[in-house]
Amino acid sequence: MSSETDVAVVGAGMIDFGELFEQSIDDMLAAAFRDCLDDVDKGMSPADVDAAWFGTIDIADNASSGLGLSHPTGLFEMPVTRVENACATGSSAFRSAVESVRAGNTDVALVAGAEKMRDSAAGLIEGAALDQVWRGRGVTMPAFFGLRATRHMEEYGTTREQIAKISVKNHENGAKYPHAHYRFTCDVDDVVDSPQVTYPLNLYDCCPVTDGAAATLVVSEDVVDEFTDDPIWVAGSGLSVDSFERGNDESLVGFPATEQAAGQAYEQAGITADDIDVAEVHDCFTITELVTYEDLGFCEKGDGGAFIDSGEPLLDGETPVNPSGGLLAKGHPIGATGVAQVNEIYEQLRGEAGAVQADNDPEYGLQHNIGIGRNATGSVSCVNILSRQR
Amino acid sequence: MAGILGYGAYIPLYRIERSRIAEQYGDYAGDGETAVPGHDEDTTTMAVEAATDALTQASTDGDQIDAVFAATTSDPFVERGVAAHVAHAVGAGRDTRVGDFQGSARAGTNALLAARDALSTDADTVLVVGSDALSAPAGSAAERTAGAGAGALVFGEGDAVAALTDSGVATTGFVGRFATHEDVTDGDGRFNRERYLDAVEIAVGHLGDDSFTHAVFPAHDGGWGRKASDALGLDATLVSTFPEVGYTAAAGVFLDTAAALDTAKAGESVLLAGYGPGGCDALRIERRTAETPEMTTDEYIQSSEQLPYGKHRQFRTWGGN
Amino acid sequence: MFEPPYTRTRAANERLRAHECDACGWVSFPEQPQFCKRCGVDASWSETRLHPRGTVRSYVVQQRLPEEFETPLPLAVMDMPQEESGEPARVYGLFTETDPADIEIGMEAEGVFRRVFDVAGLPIHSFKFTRPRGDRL
Repeated sequence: MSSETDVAVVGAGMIDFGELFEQSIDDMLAAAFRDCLDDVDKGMSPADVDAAWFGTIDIADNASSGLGLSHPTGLFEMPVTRVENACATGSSAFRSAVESVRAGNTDVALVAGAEKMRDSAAGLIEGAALDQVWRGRGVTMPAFFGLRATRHMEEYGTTREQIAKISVKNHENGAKYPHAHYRFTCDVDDVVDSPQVTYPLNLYDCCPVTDGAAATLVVSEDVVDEFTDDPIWVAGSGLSVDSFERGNDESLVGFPATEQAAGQAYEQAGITADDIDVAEVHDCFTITELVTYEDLGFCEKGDGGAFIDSGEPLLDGETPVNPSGGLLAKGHPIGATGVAQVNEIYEQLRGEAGAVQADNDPEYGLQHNIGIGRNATGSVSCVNILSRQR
Repeated sequence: MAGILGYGAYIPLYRIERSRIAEQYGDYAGDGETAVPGHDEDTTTMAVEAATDALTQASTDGDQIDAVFAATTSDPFVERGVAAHVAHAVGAGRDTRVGDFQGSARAGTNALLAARDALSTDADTVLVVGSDALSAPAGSAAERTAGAGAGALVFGEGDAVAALTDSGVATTGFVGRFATHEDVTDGDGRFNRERYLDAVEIAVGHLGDDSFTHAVFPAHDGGWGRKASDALGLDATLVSTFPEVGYTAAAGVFLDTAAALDTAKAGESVLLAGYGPGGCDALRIERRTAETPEMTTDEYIQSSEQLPYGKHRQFRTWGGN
Repeated sequence: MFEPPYTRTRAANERLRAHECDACGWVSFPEQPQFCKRCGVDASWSETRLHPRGTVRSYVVQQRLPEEFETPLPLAVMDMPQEESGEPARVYGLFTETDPADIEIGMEAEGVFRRVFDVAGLPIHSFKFTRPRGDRL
């Protein structure tokens, strides 16, 4: 594999996430792209971009192809590919761009993700698979993830309070993060006393419905010097799918797809979970982050509750997880989510994360998304690892 | 003679006290409860539940069934049928004969007689079901007793738990109570009762043996059974699900019969008088064993949950009944 | 039951017809058997039938759903055994007529035949789960 080209991230841009009723998906994409170009140390113009990957699940029906990115950015006469991979859409778009650059096909690639969630709040109910008899009817997102919570509590004695602590931590971080949708803090009582959405999950266990866009520029080692002297390198990437229908009991208390994707990414990077210094993981619900600690190997299976209790994933802990506030505070505009996570890791590794900067001088950072396939019968997980060292 | 290998009942979990319905309208209603279908129940689902119990008792697999006959007065569809769908659900084969009997509560006994006749021609095993989820306008008198339930009998050769041994018919053409999909018309109660007793007496009069230990007279008026029994000079235990379940029309033929079979001992006999617009069928059913299905009718009655009035209306609407 | 998808799955929905992978024993339900989801083999399959009494492996209680659902709605991941022998199938199970306080991991729940929803006015029937009726006497 010596013919592979090393891939660097040289720019990250995003807009403030929130209920952006006044902005269209085009408005959001253009702003994120502009912010991203401005972020490149030595500058970059649209003409430098060779190809683009556009992550969106198009929940509001307004961007069915790559053209949805071309129109607001002016990026025509080049390959523009729309990527959709459930809630792992943003990280899958990033991974696709990285693979093209790594293969030597592209020198400068734009990854952009966007979602107009609030134009289609009813679309979320589609997770209830109303046309299905057995395959996911009535299984909303909080149900799919909540099923793991009930089982995790039963099997490992994980407590409701431990699960709630994830929300407390992420809102604590989000309150300091300028792009976050929600910037309030809460305590464990606030979480467990908030209205029940789907037992055992309450409102503060759930990420909000958020509009947003984010953009990242990845380039090959051949051209990286034109754009920065301080690149962040893509060390590894993995993606896998799995389904609880296959009968594996592990999938009742976590997501084997995450374990598989992380395994691929660690192997490619030549590291282990212990080497990760900071992580942005998929916390669409509190329980998702808790089981993801385990699936990523940050702790043993079943020890997710003890891991949050130990304080290790706190901002001042040994391995800060979701310093940006995660999906719980920052919001989850599906196509943008993974791209924004990559951006956060990029900033953390460059020491530019401001009020939420990890103080452990991070060397390796990990980004993770998990999506649930149509009808909530499976999961798709994507893990990308960035590094300060080439 | 037609051997009965198994029988079964089904009554929805939900009930409402009739007095609770009446008080919504400032009216008074006597004792008694009415069974209400769950929001996801309909004539087909209840029929399948009763059929499953009967087939289990009969040790009969779906693919052994030669014919399925279904009786109801509350099919929400003008064109669709019930029997073929029950047949599919219980696993009957593609060569299974089906028949839908509708238009009168008497459809229940019509279906039983058709089953007996089928056994004497081309069928070895016949499943007969009766299922009803009656509706009535909010605030109407009929609303208080518009019940729901189902029952089933499996006819065939083998170890019979009972047998249909005799029948008599009185087709008068008299209507009395009638219903559309929207409304129920009771008419003149005393006049109707006279015509009812007349038809029952003629039909029962055709039976060869008029001694019974049990008698069932499913009817929309809970008092008619006693009147009929007195008119016939019967010395039999009257069995009725009307007080706990309400009026269940064609399904009542099966429910009341199942309740009577549950209590009848081997060698005892049940008079079943199925009545509805058009006339009456009288059947004699003899108990061969004392074997009951896994859930008796009384157990279905006893396992219940009360609904408030609003929820009961909502469930009826959701169920499309 | 006139629309193609529901005609294709009717035997699974109404009769709990399933298929067992001859290579690894995994049970395919409700789909038609294709490549085996577990062992990946383009397997041969044996027709089998699930028993409508399953075991709750995990559950949630849905509070917010479209109008057509009755809430609170317990919903579970169930293991449904085969009628004869072999491995169970792992499926989602919608509950009906069950108080959320009466559901727990490991409990047996009875499959009851119900209308799941309508398509163009026609009912689609299949099984939902409930606390066994016999336990409510």
